[in-house]
Amino acid sequence: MGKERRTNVIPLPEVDGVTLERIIGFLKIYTEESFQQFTVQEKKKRCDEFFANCKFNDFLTLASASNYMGAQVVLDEACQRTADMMKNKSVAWVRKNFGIKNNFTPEEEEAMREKHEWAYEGVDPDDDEEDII
Amino acid sequence: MEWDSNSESDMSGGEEEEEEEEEEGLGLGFLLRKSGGGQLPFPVEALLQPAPCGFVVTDALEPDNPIIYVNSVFEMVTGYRAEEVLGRNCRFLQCRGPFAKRRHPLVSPTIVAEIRKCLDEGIEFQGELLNFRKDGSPLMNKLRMTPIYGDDETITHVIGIQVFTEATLDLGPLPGSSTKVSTRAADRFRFNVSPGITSDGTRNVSRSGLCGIMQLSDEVIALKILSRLTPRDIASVGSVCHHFYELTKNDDLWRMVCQNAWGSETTRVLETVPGAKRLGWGRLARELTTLEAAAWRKVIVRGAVEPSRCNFSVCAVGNRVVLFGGEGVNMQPMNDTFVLDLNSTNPEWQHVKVTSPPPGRWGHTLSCVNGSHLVLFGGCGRQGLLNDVFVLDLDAKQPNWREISSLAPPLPRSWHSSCTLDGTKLIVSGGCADSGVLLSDTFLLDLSMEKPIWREIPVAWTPPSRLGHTLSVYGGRKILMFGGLAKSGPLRFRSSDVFTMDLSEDEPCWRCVTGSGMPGAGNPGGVAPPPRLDHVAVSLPGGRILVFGGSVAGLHSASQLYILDPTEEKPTWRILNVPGRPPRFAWGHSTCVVGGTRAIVLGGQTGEEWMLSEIHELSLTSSVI
Repeated sequence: MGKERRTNVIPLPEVDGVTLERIIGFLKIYTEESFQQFTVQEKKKRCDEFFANCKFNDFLTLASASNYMGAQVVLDEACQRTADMMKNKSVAWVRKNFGIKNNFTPEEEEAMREKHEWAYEGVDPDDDEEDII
Repeated sequence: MEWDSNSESDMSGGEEEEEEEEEEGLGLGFLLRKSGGGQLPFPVEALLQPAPCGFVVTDALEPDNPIIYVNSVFEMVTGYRAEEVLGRNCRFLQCRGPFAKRRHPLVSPTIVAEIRKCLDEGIEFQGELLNFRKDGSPLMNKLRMTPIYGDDETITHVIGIQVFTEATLDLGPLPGSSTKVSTRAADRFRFNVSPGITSDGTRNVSRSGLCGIMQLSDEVIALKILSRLTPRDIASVGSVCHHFYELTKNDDLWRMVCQNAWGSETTRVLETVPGAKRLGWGRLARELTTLEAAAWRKVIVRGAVEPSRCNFSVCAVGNRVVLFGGEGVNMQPMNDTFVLDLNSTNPEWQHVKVTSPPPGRWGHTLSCVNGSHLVLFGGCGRQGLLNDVFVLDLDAKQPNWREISSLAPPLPRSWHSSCTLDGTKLIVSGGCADSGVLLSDTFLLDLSMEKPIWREIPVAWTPPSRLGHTLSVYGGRKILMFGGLAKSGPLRFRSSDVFTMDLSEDEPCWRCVTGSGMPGAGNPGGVAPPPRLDHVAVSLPGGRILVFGGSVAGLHSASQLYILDPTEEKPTWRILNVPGRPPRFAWGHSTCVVGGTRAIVLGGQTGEEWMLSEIHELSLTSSVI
């Protein structure tokens, strides 16, 4: 260490190429002076454009990678979009898209539904054809 | 820099993905938040550990090694945000809490001396040191500090890698810490920090809290994603799997959810109610969403407001109800102040002795601003209508009314409506001016400023002028106007119209609220409340408005509750049925909302005599005594 000269190589085993490209791309936009001058609505529009073809899984990967790298603005953006996509979705939808296995017994699940009946009203219907992942 | 997949670093773990990106001119420095910008011209890979460690970079060319970068693990574990520590030397971590000036005696001076020695000699340091979070709790910091040499063999930066673990030390409470709740929920929402690498050398980036295939830590899932969902979503997400169930049981998470969903002003007010904390944020969120625990009850209090009067104004500060002025039996305007502390076991009306009260009046408004202050505006006094402003600090040792003089105040008026925006701005609208003319203007007074100035909100169109209407704040910076006695040509009618205005817009304007009613109808659909004035409108968390009471045309009951959500796509009035015995009457000027969860109705049984010892209370949440 110290006085030794090394090649400037930084392996990031947690981050794949596509995600890294997205992180860098977003940071480039974010640090542009013109971006900082935008109104809140304009900023949102620009970010929407950038993330237009990202799916739910992409946002989760983005959150994980930017968390690891400490890229705070990307992390916030990815998490906000993840939350936005999750709003008012069914329990089954959340399981499917997070890749989570249901480890409740049917009795436990029934008990929880009864206890939190208020939470299940007016939930968006699952669209089985929609390919979120 | 090249992102080279064939590295010879000592990063363990075989799941390296391929990175074949070539990013010219971009270094890790580009991606790190840094006060100066630019690249960090040194290799970092040997230092990155496969564990959630704190990562700090300091500028060795500046005096006293100021921090130029900290990563988010550092922020989360220590509780200090980057903005708070950039530019400072790391030694603040050896002080207990953000206000301590000296290193805590339990921090080993030997280790500190060794760090100093290594820095002076330009060699690496490895050791373990006692540090403290922002809230004063102790941490063991397994620290590795590495100096980085620049082109000309001088040290340009120092990198610190910290593996934090809990320190089992009982240090007692932080000196000088108050019982005030931390406003940063993330400070309290702490997870156990895991040791760096497990015994078999495998990666331990996240804890056992892995979710499916995602390597997202609990911190990210809960603090960053779940906290942005609505109360309903969190409640249902709890049944996704056992792990999510555990996450959603955390009351601090619920607090963040409430804060994000309802705004910080609403959550701040809710926190002032002791019962609310005992209920817990989870239960509070549920009850304020479903209103399943709403009930009327009668509360008997002691003391008296004498001489008796009507047309006074009440407003709540925390759990205290304050009453000012009113019209006495001989129609004379009163100027005395009373307070009722609902926190005490035996609440009693008490007269507040002030040195110089404002001129007596009735038909005025009293609103709460800046936490514990009350602002009085307008009304009808001995010599006619008023437009003066007085402020009272209820928490002062000697509470006194203080006049706020400002240029260009609104026209003097009575029976106008008022509300408070952001907890600091008084909004006043409409009312009755001299010679009985009805007004339709809207004025704003920012009481957070040193010298508050009245400002009229310019609009192209206003709803018909009126008195006795209500203004309610919802959704942060939106206001909703309902009812009142409105001008219609040469006549005046009780109204049940709803208008809203969004004050966060550059050019706010009044909008009619239309619902699923008849085509061309200006009103929301559903079961609309009969037109009325001097009614009560309560803002519920989440944006809904609850309406009842007032002077209602015909034989309709004034105690029926109506609820409207102006944020819905098609706002619709609904009736809310609530157990318990409601009051026969409820007037807007003599009703106030305590802690965002209880509407206190004074004088509700008769409409004439003012029995202020019997209070009707509409409680929206369970009471936990």
